Amino acid sequence: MPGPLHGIRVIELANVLLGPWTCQILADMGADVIKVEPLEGDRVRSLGPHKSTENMGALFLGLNRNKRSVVIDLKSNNGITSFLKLAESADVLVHNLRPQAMARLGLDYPSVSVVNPSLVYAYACGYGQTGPYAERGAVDDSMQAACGLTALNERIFGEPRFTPTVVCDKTTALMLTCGVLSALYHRAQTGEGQEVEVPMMETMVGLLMVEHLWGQSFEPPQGPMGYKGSLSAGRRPAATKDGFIAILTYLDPAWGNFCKMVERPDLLADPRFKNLAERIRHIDDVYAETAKIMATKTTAEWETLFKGTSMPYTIVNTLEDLAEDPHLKAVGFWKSIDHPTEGKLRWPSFPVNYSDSPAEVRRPAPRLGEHSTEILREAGYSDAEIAAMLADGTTAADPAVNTSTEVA
Amino acid sequence: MPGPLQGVRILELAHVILGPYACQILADMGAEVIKIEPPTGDKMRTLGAVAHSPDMASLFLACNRNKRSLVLDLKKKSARGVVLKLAETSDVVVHNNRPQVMTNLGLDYADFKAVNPHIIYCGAYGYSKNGPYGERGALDEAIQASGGIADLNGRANGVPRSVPTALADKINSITVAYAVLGALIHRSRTGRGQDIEVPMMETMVNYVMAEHLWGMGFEPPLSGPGYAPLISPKRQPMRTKDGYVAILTSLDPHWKIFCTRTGRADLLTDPRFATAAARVKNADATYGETAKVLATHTTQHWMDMFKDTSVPITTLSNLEDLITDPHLDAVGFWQISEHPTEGRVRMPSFPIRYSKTPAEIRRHPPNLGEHSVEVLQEAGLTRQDIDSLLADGTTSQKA
Repeated sequence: MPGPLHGIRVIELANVLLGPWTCQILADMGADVIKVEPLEGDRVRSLGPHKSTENMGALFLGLNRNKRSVVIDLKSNNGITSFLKLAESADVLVHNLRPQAMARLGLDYPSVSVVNPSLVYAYACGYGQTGPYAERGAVDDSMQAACGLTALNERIFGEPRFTPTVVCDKTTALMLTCGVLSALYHRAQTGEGQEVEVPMMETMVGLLMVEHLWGQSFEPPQGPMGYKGSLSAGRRPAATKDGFIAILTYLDPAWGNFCKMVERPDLLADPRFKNLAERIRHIDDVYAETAKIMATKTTAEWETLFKGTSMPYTIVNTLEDLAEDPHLKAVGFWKSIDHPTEGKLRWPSFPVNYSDSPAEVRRPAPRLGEHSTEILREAGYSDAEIAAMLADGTTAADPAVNTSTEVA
Repeated sequence: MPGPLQGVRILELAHVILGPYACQILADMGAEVIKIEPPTGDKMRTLGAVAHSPDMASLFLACNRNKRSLVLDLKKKSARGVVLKLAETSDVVVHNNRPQVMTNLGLDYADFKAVNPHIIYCGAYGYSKNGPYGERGALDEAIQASGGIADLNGRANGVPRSVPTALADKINSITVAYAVLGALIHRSRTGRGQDIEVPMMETMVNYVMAEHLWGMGFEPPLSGPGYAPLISPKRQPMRTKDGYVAILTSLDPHWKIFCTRTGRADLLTDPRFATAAARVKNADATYGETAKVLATHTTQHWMDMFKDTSVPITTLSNLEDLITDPHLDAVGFWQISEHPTEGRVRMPSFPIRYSKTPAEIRRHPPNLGEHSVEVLQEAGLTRQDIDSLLADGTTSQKA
C-alpha cells in the first residue's frame, strides 16, 4: 500500500534546506517529486562528507531522498518554457526562492497559474510579502535573531546565542508542508488551486508565543512576557550520582507522583508548591528541590524507580547515542538503502506511522540530472528535442548514469 | 471564503500543548474542533498569566481558539457512549494520551472504527508503542533530552539543556497536523480512514538529524554526527561596536558581497574560503573573519550597508520588540479581540496565507464546558438525556 500522496506530482524549485526538506516529507508520503536544479545543482550538494563525488555530500543525501532530479537552466528562454511544460501536469509547485526572483523569471503565481489553474503554488519566504521586509534575504541565523530566539537564549546562557539546529528552516518547512496538504485537500473538494505563502518570521513568532506571550496575551498586559518555566536557570538535566537525567516534575500529576515516589510528603504540603500556578511562581525552588533529590541516587537507581510509571524522565542522549538507542533500534527507526554510486546509506525513518498508507523509502537521493532525460520525455519532449536541449545547455544529464560502466 | 478544512469535524481528546496546538492549527484552517475536557478542564487552563478567570490562563488561550468545549467525565461509563456517538459524525479523532490510557477507556482506534469505519484516529505520545519505551510518560523536557537537542546545546553553548521553548511538543503538534492532513487526502481519494501514530521521540530525532546526521549518513560512517558549522561555539550573533547582529556570510553569493563591500577583497583569494564547501570546512575561520569585520562599526552601519543586498543580516529582537515590530504590525500579525469573559486578548495570526481559503479566528478560546449542551444537542441527545448527564456529573456547563 503506497503513501497517502501516491499519484500526486510535485515540482520542487528549491535549494538548501527549507524547500528540499518540505518536499522530502511530501515524497516520503508518496508524492512523485521532481527536483528542478540549475546546471551547478542545489547549493548544498557539496556540503558535508562525501564518498564518490563532491556533489553528493551528506547534507544533500539527507534532504533529497525519494526524488528525481532534472537539470533546467532557468536563465535561458528554453529553460523557462520547459519548466512551464512540467508545471502543466503537476499538482503542486514548491519553491523557496525569493518571490521577487520568481517574478523576474516570469514564474510567479499569476504566470504559472495560466498554464495550470488547479495548481497548488506554495512557497516559503523570510517575511510576509505585504510587509516592509518583504524583499529581505533570510536564512536560519537571521530568522533566529528576528523572531526572538537569540534573546530567549540570552536569558539562559547570559549572551545572545543561536540554537544549534536550523530550527527556523525546519519548523517553517513543517508549516509549509501543512500549507501544501491543506490546499491539496481543498482542491480535492473543489478542484480549485491557489497560492500559499508561508513566511518564516510569522511562523516562528507564532510558535514561540504559545508560551512566551504570557502577560501580553491581554490588553492591558497582565505581567511580563516570557515563560519562567523554560527560562529558569534551573531548567536543565539534573545531575544524578553518576550522570544526568532530564525530568520535569512541576506539572500535574507529575509533582504529586514524584513527591510520593521519593517520599517527600513535606514538599506536597509546602504552600509554595500547592498547585501549578504556585509552582510556576516558585519555579526556581521547584527545580532546586528536584535537583537536590536527583543527586541522591545513581541514574540506574532512578530508572528502576521510575520504570513502568508515567513519570516523564529520560537519560540525555548524545547524537552518537541515538544511533544505538535501544528503543529506536527496536522500532526499526534507522533505515538503510544501497545507493548505486554512494554505497550503503543510513536514514532516520519517517516519523508518522500510517496504518493504511505507510510512508516508505523508494529511492535514494538522485545524482545531478540523473532523471533529466526521463522527465523531459514524460513531459512530451522527443528524443531529438532532448538531444538539442542537452547540446545547448538548457539541461544536463548525469554522465555517471549515461556511462554506467564507470559506476562501481 | 472559509479555510481549506471547512466541513471537517475533529474530536480533540487532548491536553497540555501537543494535541491542543495541533488541533488549533487544523481549527485555524477551518475545521470544526470539539474539545472534550474532563470536569476539571485541560491541565493547561491554569498555566500562565491571568486577566480574570483563573482557568483561562495564557497558555490555554494560546492553544485553544477556534474550538468548542464539551465537558465529559470519561471515568463515567455514560461518557464513552457520548464520545462514540459524536464520532459517528466526525472525520478525525486526535489524542495525546498514552496508548494504555485510551485502551483502558475503551477508546482505541478499533472502538471508533466500529462506529465509523472512515474515521481517522491520530495518537501522539512519547515513544512508539511498539518499542521498549512504549509505556513511558513523556513531556517536552524529556524528549528534547532523549532526542538530541540537549546534547546540541551542550556542544555549541556549553550547557546540555533544552531550547527555552517547548520545541518537542510544538514540532510534534505540526507533525500531527500534517499527518492528519495526509490522511484526509488519502481518505478523499480512497474512502478509507486509518490509525496514525506520531511518536514524539522519533519525530524529534528525525527533525534533529535532517542536518546533523552528517557523516553518519553513510555506512560505515564517514565521520561522527553533527553539522560542524552549526555546532561550532563560534557560530553566534556577532558583536558590533554597540550591540549585536545576526548574519550568515558563508553561502554564495553572500560571501562575495560581504568581502567586497567591507573592503576585505583579500579574503576572496584566500583558499580557505574559496568555495562554500571550503567555508563550511573552515567554518570557525569564516566566522572569525566575519566577527573581526563586524566589530569595527555600529549595528546601524552594517544594517545600512547590506540593506539593498541579499546578505541575510538582522538585528536581535527581544520578546517585547515583537509586540511593536514594524513588519508584524504592517502585516496585521497581532489580532486583538474582545473575549466575553477575559476582556481584550492578543493572539498571533495563523502564519499560512492562502490566496483563496484564508485562515481566520472565528471563535474565542472557550470557557470550560461552554458548549456542552449545544454539542450534545447537535449529537441528537434529547433534553432529558442531557439533563441526566448534567445531573450525574458526566458533563457540565457553567451557568
